[in-house]
Amino acid sequence: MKKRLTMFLACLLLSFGVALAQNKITGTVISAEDNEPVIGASVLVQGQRSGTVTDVDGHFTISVPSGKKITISFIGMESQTVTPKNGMRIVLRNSAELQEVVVTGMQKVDKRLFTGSSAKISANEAKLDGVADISRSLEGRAAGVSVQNVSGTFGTAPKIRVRGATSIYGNSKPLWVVDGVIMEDVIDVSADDLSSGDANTLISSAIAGLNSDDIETFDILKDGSATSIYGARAMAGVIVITTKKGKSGQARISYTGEYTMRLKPSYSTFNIMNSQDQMSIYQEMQQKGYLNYAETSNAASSGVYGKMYQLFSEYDPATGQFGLANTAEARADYLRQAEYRNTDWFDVLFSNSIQHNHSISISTGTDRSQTYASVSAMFDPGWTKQSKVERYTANLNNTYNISKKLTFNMIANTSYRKQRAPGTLSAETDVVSGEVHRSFDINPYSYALNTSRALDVNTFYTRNYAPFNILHELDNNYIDLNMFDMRVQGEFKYKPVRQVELAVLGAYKYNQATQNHQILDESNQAQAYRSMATTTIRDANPFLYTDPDDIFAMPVTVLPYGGIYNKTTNSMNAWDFRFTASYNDAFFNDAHIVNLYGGIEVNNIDRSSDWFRGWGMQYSLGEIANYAYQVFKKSAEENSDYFTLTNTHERRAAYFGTATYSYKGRYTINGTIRYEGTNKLGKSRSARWLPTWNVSGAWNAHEEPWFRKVFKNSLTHATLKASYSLTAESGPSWVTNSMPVISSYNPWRPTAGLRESGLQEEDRANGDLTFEKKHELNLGVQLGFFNNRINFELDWYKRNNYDLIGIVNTQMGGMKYGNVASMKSNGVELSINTTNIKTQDFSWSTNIIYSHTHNEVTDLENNQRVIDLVSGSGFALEGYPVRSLFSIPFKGLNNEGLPTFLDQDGNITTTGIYFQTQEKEKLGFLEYSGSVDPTDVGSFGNLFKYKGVSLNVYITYSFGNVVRLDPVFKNKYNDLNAMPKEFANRWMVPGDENYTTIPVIASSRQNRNDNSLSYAYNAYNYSTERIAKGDFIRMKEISIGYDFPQSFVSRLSLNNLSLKLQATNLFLIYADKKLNGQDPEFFNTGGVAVPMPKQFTLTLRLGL
Amino acid sequence: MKKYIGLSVIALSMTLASCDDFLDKLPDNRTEANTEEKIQKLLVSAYPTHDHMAFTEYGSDNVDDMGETNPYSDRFLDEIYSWTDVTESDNQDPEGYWMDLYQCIETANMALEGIESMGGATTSSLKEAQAEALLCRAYAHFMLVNVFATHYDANNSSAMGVSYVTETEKELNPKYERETVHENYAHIAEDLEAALPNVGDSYYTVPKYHFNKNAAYAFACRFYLYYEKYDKAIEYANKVLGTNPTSMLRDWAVLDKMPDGSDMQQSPTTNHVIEATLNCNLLLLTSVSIQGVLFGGFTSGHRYSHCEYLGQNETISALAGLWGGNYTSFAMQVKRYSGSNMNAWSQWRMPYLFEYTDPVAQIGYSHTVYNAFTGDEVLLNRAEAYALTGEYDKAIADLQVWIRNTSTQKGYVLTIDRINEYIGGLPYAYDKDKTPKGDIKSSLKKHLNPKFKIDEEGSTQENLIQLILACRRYETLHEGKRWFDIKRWGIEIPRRVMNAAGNPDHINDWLTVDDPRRAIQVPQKVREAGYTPNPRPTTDNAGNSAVNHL
Repeated sequence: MKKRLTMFLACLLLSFGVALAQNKITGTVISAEDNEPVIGASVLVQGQRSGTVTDVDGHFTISVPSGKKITISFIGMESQTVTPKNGMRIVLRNSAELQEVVVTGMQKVDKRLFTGSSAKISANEAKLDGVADISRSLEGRAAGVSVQNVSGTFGTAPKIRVRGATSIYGNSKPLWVVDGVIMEDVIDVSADDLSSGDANTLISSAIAGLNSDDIETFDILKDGSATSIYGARAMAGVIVITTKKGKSGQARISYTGEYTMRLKPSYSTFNIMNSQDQMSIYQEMQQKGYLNYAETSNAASSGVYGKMYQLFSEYDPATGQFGLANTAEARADYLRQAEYRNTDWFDVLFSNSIQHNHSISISTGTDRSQTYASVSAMFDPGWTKQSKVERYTANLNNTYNISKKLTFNMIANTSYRKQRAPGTLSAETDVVSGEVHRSFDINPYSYALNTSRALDVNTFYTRNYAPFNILHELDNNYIDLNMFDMRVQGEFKYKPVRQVELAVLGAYKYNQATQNHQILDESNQAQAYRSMATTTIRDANPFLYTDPDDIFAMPVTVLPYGGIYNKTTNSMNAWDFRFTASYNDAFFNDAHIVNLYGGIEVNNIDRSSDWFRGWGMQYSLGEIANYAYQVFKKSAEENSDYFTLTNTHERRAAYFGTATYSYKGRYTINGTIRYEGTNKLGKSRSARWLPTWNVSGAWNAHEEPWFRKVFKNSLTHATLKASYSLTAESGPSWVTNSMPVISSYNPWRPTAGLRESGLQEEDRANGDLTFEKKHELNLGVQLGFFNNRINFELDWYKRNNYDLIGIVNTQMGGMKYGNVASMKSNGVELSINTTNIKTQDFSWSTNIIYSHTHNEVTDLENNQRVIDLVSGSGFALEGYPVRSLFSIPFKGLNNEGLPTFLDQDGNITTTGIYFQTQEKEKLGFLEYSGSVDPTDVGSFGNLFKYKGVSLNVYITYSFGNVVRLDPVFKNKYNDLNAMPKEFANRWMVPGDENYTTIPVIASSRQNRNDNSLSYAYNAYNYSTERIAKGDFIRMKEISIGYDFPQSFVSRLSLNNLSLKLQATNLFLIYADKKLNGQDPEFFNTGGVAVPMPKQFTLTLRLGL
Repeated sequence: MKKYIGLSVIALSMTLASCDDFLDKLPDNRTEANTEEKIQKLLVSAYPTHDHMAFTEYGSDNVDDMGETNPYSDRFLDEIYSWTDVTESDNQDPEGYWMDLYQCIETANMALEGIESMGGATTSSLKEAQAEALLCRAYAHFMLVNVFATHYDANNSSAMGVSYVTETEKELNPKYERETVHENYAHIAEDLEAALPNVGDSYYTVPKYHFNKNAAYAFACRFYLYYEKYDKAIEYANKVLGTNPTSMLRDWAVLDKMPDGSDMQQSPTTNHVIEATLNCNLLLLTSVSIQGVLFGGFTSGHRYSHCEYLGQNETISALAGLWGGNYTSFAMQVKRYSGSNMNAWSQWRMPYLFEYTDPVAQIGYSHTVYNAFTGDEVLLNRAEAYALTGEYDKAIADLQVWIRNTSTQKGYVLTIDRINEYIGGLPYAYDKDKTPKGDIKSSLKKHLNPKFKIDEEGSTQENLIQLILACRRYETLHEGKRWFDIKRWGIEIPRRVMNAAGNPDHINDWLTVDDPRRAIQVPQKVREAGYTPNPRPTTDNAGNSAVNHL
């Protein structure tokens, strides 16, 4: 037995004696956990105020009147009331396991003493089997957390918002904390760009490398009080993940196998025309002057008609025949075949193949060390062509109790992912016409939706003047993604005395993602660079190069051989260091509970990204490069790069402290302060430091002595909470101009010989640049009825976001970004869980989650163009929600069938919409359609259990947002386009404008007469006519599980065995009819984006 | 316990000290102007990439309105033609030019501050860099004051100029005060004089895109001409022109022999105009601009056009009348376009070039390259300085060099008599006072109302200056430089509408001698940010026009 070093004076103050018939008792109090004496435990005579405390050896001596019992208690341990006996030995057990704790990532806080707003979700309950990215399973699980699956592709992060947007230009992304370490994204993909479909989104999820089986709990910290320990990083909330730890005792090995089958999408759920209707549209187009021989046979893109014309001139000398005889009969026959074709692109491009995930974990340990280790392997052959994923993870979590005072915990986590995706380039917006387009897009999902069903699967048609077949292209144009990430961390905890704990945490993270975009020799994208079959094509093909230095030059190819090899590498090196000290104690019969916690933290993140484009990679000749020199001349003249390198460095340092005082667990007050600095805000030593703080309090009414008397069993739990806080965020990652931002550039020059590189001031200095800040008032109430059979939790908050980054128009620096904008938001969050029926064999519980959030930009100078305000992800405008979508007011069709709109000057126009207009007074004509972010989200879950069988029916819902319908209308169509069925109601003859709002298929004469007709059709795509409500109720999950009975299991020498069949994303119970099958959560932007599939997963769990 | 607290305090204070050093790391690969090379590289961006050419050319008498029925216009062109304060945004709007010039000034100041922080310009190449920075700063202010203020008037020391900015911006949204034009000119002179002794070409890799020696002298020549310090103008012109001025002039005949390009006909010619190896091109500037389209063989913008009537009566043929020639008697032939809604005489000298940001979608920036200074202009400036100092022989000698080089008359002999005979015989163009609609006939000779004194109308000096202005108008056609002569010489010009036959029909508006619109209005966004605007006439309740002094 070691001597304790310190003892508290407070201990002595409690020694009072009362002169009665007394028995002097001595005893020892021992902790069950470590068999060590408990110092300072209070020993009270029941019903009296007299008592004593234990000394350094855990001994106590007390006089007890005969017949009285004594109560021994210590904070964090279960109290015991025993009959006194001399020389007694009392073993106290930790109460932590019985009591709920909130994990803030840095601390574990007794829920009774926690004054903030948080939600705890056990991974077991939330986990969606067959969905490898654990972040997606948070959808609907916690009030105040909205999860939008803007793309279902693995590696793409869902758009997660905790209590809605907190910034205008910033990301409003919550902070992910895994086992106390902040997870950083390898690249900064903004919340809006998550739905872009660009290849970068594949590496946007910081936690895609976590095996969902390793996760124990999520703690979602919502209000400023809960997050304040992260102060200047936590404005948008914190999601804390705690992974599993080993437990002492017998080694347990578990296996989880998930086998997932995904349904192919079906045309029956979309309103795409079948090939017969489609061909009749083409016939109309032909009547209107399109799809004629001269134009179509040399067109950049063509389908059935283009192929027909090409066949006319394809002469086969062997047979002496043309590909197709140019006779009326042969033509009709050819077109009739197309009419009957009805190609099912979904069937061709999607597969039902089984995705399987295997995870094996072992949990073992002794008193001295505990280990949790797991490995997992996920194989996904791909729902669509070229979307194969393999992921391997390994995780090791060891805790060593080196001595009674010193423990060491180490975690090593690594994952490797190999993924393939269809080749894609980044999407671009043509600001002039307002069209968002992606060159060479071969996304299978959008291809199936947008491509005519009259095309033959195996025929090569024409795209970018070169032969194109989707299956061939997918085989020859793809992205190989290799992603490796690793995290190692170690933490020493030293407890010199029971009340004090010192901890040192160090973590190192490394991520590397390599995207190799392989454009093979025979791909359409490579061939487009050398397509010059006719002089017409040669002169029209934009991929060819005409030497400006040679005044007689003809267009030539810059890619005579091979394909194009693009390589993008993103890597991140990060380390964290944290030193903390905590002090927990209780005085005066545990009446006064004090927790102190403080520390310092330092983070360093270095990111590097490089990109390279290799022209002329001859994949078919054993991968050797053979490039044309013109490619460099061309790019020099056009001022484009062939490689780039970007290194960024993020450094942070913070001091923090929090103090909690509670009187008997009834009244608790808490205060936190954090003082944080970041290098992002430049060298100015004043601007880069910011103190953030919080004050909060809670009243646990059920701890009051009168409570139980008053409410008996009807109300068993009641807590009221209030907090007020300041938290912050260092703003969008690209606003760093506290000092002038000088970067290198290559000014445009007319010829390559005049090039020189220079430096330019990209952003003028703003010495006042500071953090974006948020004041938040949170009020919460938690009630438990009937022995907590019904639990009710309600939070209300009001937020005032200020110093947000916004635009300032200056006198000489043009537009600058500064801390000038503000917004306010408020919301309520409600969660109710009830145990409706509970018998020995049967139970039924229900979970209802609802949250409402509203935000409004209160102060913002605006520089947005019309196109920003009407396109998919919306934009902020003063007086409106932070992601508002506006629409061009549609005013019916004119007598030519062309759409008309109200324009910026109050006139009715067809083509007079200026998508680039920025002037505030000229944006007024736009009609507000709604917010892009849902305002009301939640879920409704029911769990039924009968003996070993469980049935889970889980419904999620989301209301209050609008979505832009797919932009399907164009001034000119070609014979590749698929059209939605609404085309059937299109304007055909004058007079139709009284009955329909679907514009005419513009004739070539109409296009000739007005060469800006594309403005009219793009305006239509962005009009009030093409907007739908984003509201939906989704049958997210239905699952049936069966735990095999113990008797059966032990016969197999197993510990446990269970099977579960789960259907995910089964159907939408409700969605706006206007969507016609378009998923309201999903942004169909092409590239690598595909929606979440409907899937069935069989899960097998067994434990040894 | 105390021990731990003590330890923690020590640990904390140690980290506090080191934390600020830790946070000094720059967040990305941005750089600071703290070495010789970086300062030189920084100055690459001290040259404007926007231009005044659209709004000063369309505001000048080099274009006429072809009538409302001509569809080839847009709101921006309508505004700049009618001297309305611009509200439309366009790549070539005054806002773009304003912001661009002040960014050049900011960059130059940053370079100068960088040199100061290195302990001053101690090496010869730092001295050159300092000179370049000063020249860039002076040039940007010179263009700002000449575009956005009234022209320098030695007798009016209170005329409002622009802000002369000499340090980099440190705050988010600083407010600037306007100086007087006099103060602006004094500051420009100061920067110029500080720069000229050190200007050099040693470190430039592409000297024609930087203030090389000749460009600096050409700038000084024009500045002192505007500043009414004619001796200095002559002195610096001499440095550029040397003993053989012809060698510094453009070879127009070569341009005329250029073939037509395959895609855009004018490209071989226009690309040769801006050839960096030519002696006559002293300083080339790039610009985000479609000037090459607006004044080339495209219909775009041709509602306001340098039309045949103008070419015949004011600019091209009218000048050739001196030597009895017509539009064919210039070394480079003018391109004459006529057709429905296209009535234009164009000189192919503005290239239309494209920078593709997305070659597939054909999206990118339109560019042109233009001459900030040419040898030809320096020659004409010197001629004007001679004319103003009474050295008529020297002025005539320079004009003779110019005419021989520019026209087909290689042996032409220019005399005072010929000038007096031809110019003196011409009537003054559209005399505003005659009748409201009556006399709207053109002539290359227009009433001059400068703020400084010259001999009376019809004198040799006046005739000489009329000829010099006509030569300069030809020399700078489509480049927007005529506007500065209109301001400087107080030339009144109308907004004239042509009839269907292409002849003058009526006049909508006049730019009078003291019309406040001669100072282009400060851009809308700058005014909204609190900058003092230029005065504009407002109509009071009685319906009287008044000048609004804000």
